[in-house]
Amino acid sequence: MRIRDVKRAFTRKLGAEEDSSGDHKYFYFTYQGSEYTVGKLSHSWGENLNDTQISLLARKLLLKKREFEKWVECTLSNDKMIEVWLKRRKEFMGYR
Amino acid sequence: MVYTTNVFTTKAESYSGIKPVWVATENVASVADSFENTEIGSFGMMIIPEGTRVPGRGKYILKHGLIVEIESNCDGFVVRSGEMDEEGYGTSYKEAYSDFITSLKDKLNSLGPREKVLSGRDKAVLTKLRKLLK
Repeated sequence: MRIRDVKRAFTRKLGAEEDSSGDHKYFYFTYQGSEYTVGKLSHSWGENLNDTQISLLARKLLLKKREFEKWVECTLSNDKMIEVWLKRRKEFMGYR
Repeated sequence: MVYTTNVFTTKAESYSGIKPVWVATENVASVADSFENTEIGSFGMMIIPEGTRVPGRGKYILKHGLIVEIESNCDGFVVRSGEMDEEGYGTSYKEAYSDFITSLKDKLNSLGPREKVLSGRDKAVLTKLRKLLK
Protein backbone atom coordinates (compact mmCIF):
# COMPACT_ATOMS: atom_id res chain seq x y z
CA MET A 1 0.00 0.00 0.00
CA ARG A 2 1.35 3.40 -0.97
CA ILE A 3 1.31 6.40 1.32
CA ARG A 4 -0.11 8.58 -1.47
CA ASP A 5 -3.12 6.27 -1.75
CA VAL A 6 -3.77 6.57 1.97
CA LYS A 7 -3.47 10.34 1.81
CA ARG A 8 -5.87 10.42 -1.14
CA ALA A 9 -8.37 8.24 0.73
CA PHE A 10 -8.29 10.57 3.73
CA THR A 11 -8.56 13.83 1.84
CA ARG A 12 -10.54 13.07 -1.32
CA LYS A 13 -12.63 10.10 -0.33
CA LEU A 14 -13.39 10.95 3.28
CA GLY A 15 -13.03 14.70 2.86
CA ALA A 16 -10.74 14.95 5.87
CA GLU A 17 -8.72 18.09 6.43
CA GLU A 18 -4.94 17.71 6.45
CA ASP A 19 -2.71 19.50 8.93
CA SER A 20 0.94 19.14 7.99
CA SER A 21 2.36 21.96 10.06
CA GLY A 22 4.61 19.67 12.14
CA ASP A 23 6.75 16.60 11.53
CA HIS A 24 3.55 14.58 11.28
CA LYS A 25 0.47 15.02 9.16
CA TYR A 26 -2.84 14.78 10.98
CA PHE A 27 -6.16 14.22 9.28
CA TYR A 28 -9.42 15.54 10.73
CA PHE A 29 -12.82 14.31 9.71
CA THR A 30 -15.79 16.57 10.38
CA TYR A 31 -18.93 14.73 11.41
CA GLN A 32 -22.04 16.48 12.71
CA GLY A 33 -20.12 19.63 13.47
CA SER A 34 -17.26 18.02 15.40
CA GLU A 35 -13.73 17.23 14.21
CA TYR A 36 -12.27 13.78 14.80
CA THR A 37 -8.64 12.74 14.44
CA VAL A 38 -8.77 9.90 11.94
CA GLY A 39 -5.22 9.58 10.69
CA LYS A 40 -1.59 10.39 11.20
CA LEU A 41 1.32 10.05 8.79
CA SER A 42 4.95 10.64 9.65
CA HIS A 43 7.17 12.55 7.25
CA SER A 44 9.83 9.90 7.86
CA TRP A 45 7.69 7.10 6.45
CA GLY A 46 8.66 5.78 3.02
CA GLU A 47 6.39 5.59 -0.01
CA ASN A 48 5.38 1.98 0.61
CA LEU A 49 3.78 1.21 3.95
CA ASN A 50 4.54 -1.97 5.86
CA ASP A 51 2.03 -4.04 7.85
CA THR A 52 2.72 -2.23 11.11
CA GLN A 53 2.22 1.20 9.60
CA ILE A 54 -1.04 0.08 7.98
CA SER A 55 -2.21 -1.37 11.30
CA LEU A 56 -1.45 1.90 13.08
CA LEU A 57 -3.47 3.81 10.49
CA ALA A 58 -6.34 1.34 10.72
CA ARG A 59 -6.38 1.66 14.50
CA LYS A 60 -6.88 5.44 14.32
CA LEU A 61 -10.03 4.81 12.28
CA LEU A 62 -11.10 1.97 14.57
CA LEU A 63 -10.86 -0.43 11.64
CA LYS A 64 -9.22 -3.80 11.30
CA LYS A 65 -6.20 -3.80 9.04
CA ARG A 66 -8.00 -5.62 6.24
CA GLU A 67 -10.97 -3.24 6.48
CA PHE A 68 -8.66 -0.27 6.18
CA GLU A 69 -6.93 -1.79 3.16
CA LYS A 70 -10.28 -2.42 1.49
CA TRP A 71 -11.38 1.13 2.17
CA VAL A 72 -8.20 2.57 0.65
CA GLU A 73 -8.52 0.17 -2.31
CA CYS A 74 -12.17 1.27 -2.70
CA THR A 75 -13.58 -2.23 -2.21
CA LEU A 76 -15.14 -1.00 1.04
CA SER A 77 -17.37 2.01 0.42
CA ASN A 78 -16.95 5.25 2.28
CA ASP A 79 -20.47 4.99 3.68
CA LYS A 80 -19.83 1.49 4.98
CA MET A 81 -16.52 2.53 6.51
CA ILE A 82 -18.16 5.47 8.32
CA GLU A 83 -20.91 3.14 9.53
CA VAL A 84 -18.28 0.80 11.03
CA TRP A 85 -16.38 3.74 12.51
CA LEU A 86 -19.53 5.12 14.18
CA LYS A 87 -20.51 1.71 15.52
CA ARG A 88 -17.09 1.11 17.05
CA ARG A 89 -16.92 4.59 18.55
CA LYS A 90 -20.12 3.81 20.43
CA GLU A 91 -18.66 0.53 21.63
CA PHE A 92 -15.75 2.24 23.34
CA MET A 93 -16.24 4.50 26.31
CA GLY A 94 -14.88 7.95 25.63
CA TYR A 95 -15.28 7.72 21.88
CA ARG A 96 -18.65 9.40 21.75
CA MET B 1 16.31 7.20 39.30
CA VAL B 2 16.04 3.46 38.74
CA TYR B 3 17.60 1.93 35.66
CA THR B 4 16.52 -1.47 34.50
CA THR B 5 17.29 -3.23 31.26
CA ASN B 6 15.21 -6.37 31.70
CA VAL B 7 12.14 -4.78 30.25
CA PHE B 8 10.59 -7.07 27.76
CA THR B 9 8.49 -10.10 28.05
CA THR B 10 6.80 -11.91 25.21
CA LYS B 11 3.20 -11.01 24.42
CA ALA B 12 2.11 -14.48 25.39
CA GLU B 13 3.71 -14.10 28.82
CA SER B 14 2.20 -10.69 29.43
CA TYR B 15 -1.23 -11.83 28.39
CA SER B 16 -0.99 -14.86 30.62
CA GLY B 17 -0.53 -12.66 33.65
CA ILE B 18 3.24 -12.21 33.91
CA LYS B 19 3.71 -8.49 34.13
CA PRO B 20 6.53 -6.88 32.22
CA VAL B 21 9.18 -5.04 34.20
CA TRP B 22 8.62 -1.33 34.40
CA VAL B 23 11.47 0.98 33.67
CA ALA B 24 12.22 4.52 34.67
CA THR B 25 15.14 6.27 33.12
CA GLU B 26 16.29 9.82 32.62
CA ASN B 27 18.11 8.89 29.45
CA VAL B 28 16.06 6.76 27.13
CA ALA B 29 18.97 6.29 24.75
CA SER B 30 20.94 4.60 27.53
CA VAL B 31 18.64 1.59 27.46
CA ALA B 32 18.13 1.60 23.70
CA ASP B 33 20.59 -1.23 23.16
CA SER B 34 18.66 -3.54 25.40
CA PHE B 35 15.45 -2.76 23.54
CA GLU B 36 17.10 -3.25 20.16
CA ASN B 37 18.27 -6.72 21.12
CA THR B 38 14.91 -8.01 22.28
CA GLU B 39 13.22 -10.90 20.61
CA ILE B 40 10.74 -10.10 17.83
CA GLY B 41 7.22 -10.21 19.20
CA SER B 42 8.18 -8.81 22.59
CA PHE B 43 6.11 -6.41 24.60
CA GLY B 44 7.04 -4.12 27.46
CA MET B 45 6.23 -0.96 29.32
CA MET B 46 8.30 2.03 30.24
CA ILE B 47 7.92 5.33 32.03
CA ILE B 48 9.23 8.29 30.12
CA PRO B 49 10.25 10.45 33.06
CA GLU B 50 9.30 13.95 34.03
CA GLY B 51 11.69 16.51 32.57
CA THR B 52 12.30 14.62 29.32
CA ARG B 53 12.99 17.08 26.53
CA VAL B 54 11.05 16.83 23.27
CA PRO B 55 13.41 17.30 20.33
CA GLY B 56 12.75 19.89 17.64
CA ARG B 57 11.03 23.24 17.65
CA GLY B 58 9.25 24.53 20.72
CA LYS B 59 11.64 23.26 23.42
CA TYR B 60 8.92 21.31 25.19
CA ILE B 61 9.59 19.16 28.22
CA LEU B 62 7.41 16.59 29.99
CA LYS B 63 5.86 17.99 33.15
CA HIS B 64 5.16 14.50 34.48
CA GLY B 65 6.13 10.93 33.70
CA LEU B 66 4.28 9.06 30.98
CA ILE B 67 3.70 5.32 30.85
CA VAL B 68 4.10 3.88 27.38
CA GLU B 69 3.83 0.42 25.84
CA ILE B 70 6.63 -0.81 23.62
CA GLU B 71 6.14 -3.57 21.11
CA SER B 72 8.67 -5.15 18.79
CA ASN B 73 7.63 -6.98 15.66
CA CYS B 74 9.14 -8.01 12.35
CA ASP B 75 8.76 -4.44 10.98
CA GLY B 76 10.40 -2.70 13.93
CA PHE B 77 9.13 -1.05 17.08
CA VAL B 78 5.96 0.70 18.20
CA VAL B 79 5.84 3.04 21.22
CA ARG B 80 2.28 3.79 22.29
CA SER B 81 0.35 5.74 24.91
CA GLY B 82 -3.33 4.91 25.24
CA GLU B 83 -3.77 7.90 27.53
CA MET B 84 -2.56 10.32 24.86
CA ASP B 85 -4.09 8.24 22.05
CA GLU B 86 -0.76 8.42 20.26
CA GLU B 87 1.93 6.11 18.97
CA GLY B 88 5.29 6.20 17.23
CA TYR B 89 6.82 3.73 14.83
CA GLY B 90 10.39 3.08 13.69
CA THR B 91 12.58 0.33 12.36
CA SER B 92 14.68 0.78 15.50
CA TYR B 93 13.65 1.52 19.07
CA LYS B 94 15.33 4.93 18.89
CA GLU B 95 13.37 5.84 15.77
CA ALA B 96 10.09 4.72 17.31
CA TYR B 97 10.77 6.64 20.51
CA SER B 98 11.71 9.77 18.58
CA ASP B 99 8.64 9.45 16.36
CA PHE B 100 6.45 9.04 19.43
CA ILE B 101 7.78 11.91 21.48
CA THR B 102 7.74 14.38 18.58
CA SER B 103 4.18 13.21 17.84
CA LEU B 104 3.10 14.45 21.27
CA LYS B 105 4.28 17.96 20.46
CA ASP B 106 2.83 17.90 16.94
CA LYS B 107 -0.48 16.61 18.23
CA LEU B 108 -0.67 19.35 20.86
CA ASN B 109 0.06 22.00 18.23
CA SER B 110 -2.39 20.49 15.78
CA LEU B 111 -5.29 19.99 18.20
CA GLY B 112 -4.87 23.34 19.97
CA PRO B 113 -6.24 25.65 17.25
CA ARG B 114 -9.20 23.29 16.70
CA GLU B 115 -10.22 23.11 20.32
CA LYS B 116 -13.70 24.60 19.85
CA VAL B 117 -14.74 22.07 17.23
CA LEU B 118 -12.98 18.94 18.50
CA SER B 119 -14.86 15.79 19.44
CA GLY B 120 -15.07 14.98 23.14
CA ARG B 121 -12.37 12.35 22.89
CA ASP B 122 -9.90 14.64 21.12
CA LYS B 123 -10.68 17.48 23.53
CA ALA B 124 -9.84 15.18 26.45
CA VAL B 125 -6.54 14.24 24.79
CA LEU B 126 -5.74 17.92 24.22
CA THR B 127 -6.31 18.63 27.90
CA LYS B 128 -3.97 15.78 28.87
CA LEU B 129 -1.32 16.96 26.40
CA ARG B 130 -1.45 20.46 27.85
CA LYS B 131 -0.90 19.01 31.31
CA LEU B 132 1.95 16.85 30.00
CA LEU B 133 3.94 19.35 27.95
CA LYS B 134 5.30 22.79 28.73
